[in-house]
Amino acid sequence: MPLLSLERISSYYGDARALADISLEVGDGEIVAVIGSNGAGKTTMLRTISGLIHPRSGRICFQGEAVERMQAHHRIRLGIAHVPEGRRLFAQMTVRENLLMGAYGAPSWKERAALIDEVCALFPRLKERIGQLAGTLSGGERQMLATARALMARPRLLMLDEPSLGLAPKIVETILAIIRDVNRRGVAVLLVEQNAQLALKAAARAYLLEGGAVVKSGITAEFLADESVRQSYLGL
Amino acid sequence: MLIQLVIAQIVNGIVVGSMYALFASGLTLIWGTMKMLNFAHGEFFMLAGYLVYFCYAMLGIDPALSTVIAVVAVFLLGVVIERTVIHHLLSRPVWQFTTIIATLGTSIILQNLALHLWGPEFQNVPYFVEGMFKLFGIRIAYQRLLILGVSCASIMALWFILKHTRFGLALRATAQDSDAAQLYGVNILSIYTLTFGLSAALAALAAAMLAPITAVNPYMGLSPLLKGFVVVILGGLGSFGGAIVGGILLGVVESLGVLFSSTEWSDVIAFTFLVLVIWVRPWGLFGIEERS
Repeated sequence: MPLLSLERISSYYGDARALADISLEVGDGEIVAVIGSNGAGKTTMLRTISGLIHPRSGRICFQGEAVERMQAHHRIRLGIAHVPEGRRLFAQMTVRENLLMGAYGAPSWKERAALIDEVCALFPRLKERIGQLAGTLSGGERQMLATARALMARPRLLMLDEPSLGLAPKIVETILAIIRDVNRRGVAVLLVEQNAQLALKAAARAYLLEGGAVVKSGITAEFLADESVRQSYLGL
Repeated sequence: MLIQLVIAQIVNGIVVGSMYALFASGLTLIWGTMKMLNFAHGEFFMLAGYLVYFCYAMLGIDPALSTVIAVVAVFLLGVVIERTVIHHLLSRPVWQFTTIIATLGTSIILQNLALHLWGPEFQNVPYFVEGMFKLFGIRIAYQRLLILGVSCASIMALWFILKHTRFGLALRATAQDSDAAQLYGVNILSIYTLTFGLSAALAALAAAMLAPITAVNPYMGLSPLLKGFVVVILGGLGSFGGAIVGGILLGVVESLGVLFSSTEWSDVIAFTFLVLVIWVRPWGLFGIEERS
């Protein structure tokens, strides 16, 4: 049984269909990439999985449980953590407070403090900035904080929306290393990227979205070998 | 003599201003978290005034206990009104307008209910503490010092709640980014309900403390509502610190203005001051400048 499965999901913004019969699977401990151009429905798909949007039809199963009707604030407790597009940090709150929010569902302050120590071991940079307002961080640090905030929830599945957006290539490498590191600790990753090269480098399997539908799926080697993918998405 | 008068007026201004601050911080909490204006805020104030009048002036219950009764009752009323009148509007389109009409309607209903039940007369509430504090010829009623103490204590308590509790953290997170707050487990709809109740309770506390000074009547909520909006805009929409500083500043400006004109001019002074401030800083004293 896969960790996450989407079966024929359709989502709408008003009357406009943003996702058309999308089916997708993420296995335990896997890194899966979703690529596609702007407006292909990648962000809508993540928002549907995390519960910010409710699909009009289809099923979403997480660890065998149907979650498509569940509200967003319950899904995080099952282990679905979503790092949204643009990071969406709490800019007027400190790094520490942002991290605390990640562990909002934790049973005690003691536990939250322990989680902060754990996450700061992964991101020493954040420890240095712990008292600073999130709005004052650099782009790379913001992405680190957004990822760390999600890890505070001890997720089984980490969904990242455009983590490389606006970052210098060197910092993108760091982020990629972090994603791999997190994955080695047993967290499955669903990586949505416009930067297809990066996404295909990180993932084992991939899906290609066009106009709200899955037009291709398979192991990343197939994508890298596909002539039309190379032309349209990799610029080769 | 004049200097003593000026000092006494400044102290009075701080006292009244600290109540504006409490009242306005309720408005600003709602604006900051729910992004809506609550036109029924003044009626929470009015109802708490009546509750104190009934408990303390009529039934002779201890003033501190009367205040607690009023604050708790109005908190619960706030929760009920949010759940019945506002809650279901927030997730629908054009809620920015429907919530204005809904709270205006609530205000009219509560005001007329009070008028119908208790009549238009002004009801006097005795001071909680008698006597005057005298120092270097400056005379200040102990009631006013009590008001100042209560407002300082409640502002600090509120600050502590916002800064150091799980609820406060969730409230601020919801105010800054409600989507992100939901993603990390905050049930934003229950945060809205509690915020509304808390905001009503703040108006109630201000009313309980001011009732002996202003007297109680069905329309007593209107003037603080107008002042409250002035304070909220003065301080910067959604800024808690701005509401506190703005409230006290407005109180002082008004009471100093009274030295040079009559009390009827206090609203004119308040709004002139507001216009002057937002002329220079359209985003308010503590607001964040919006760039397009």
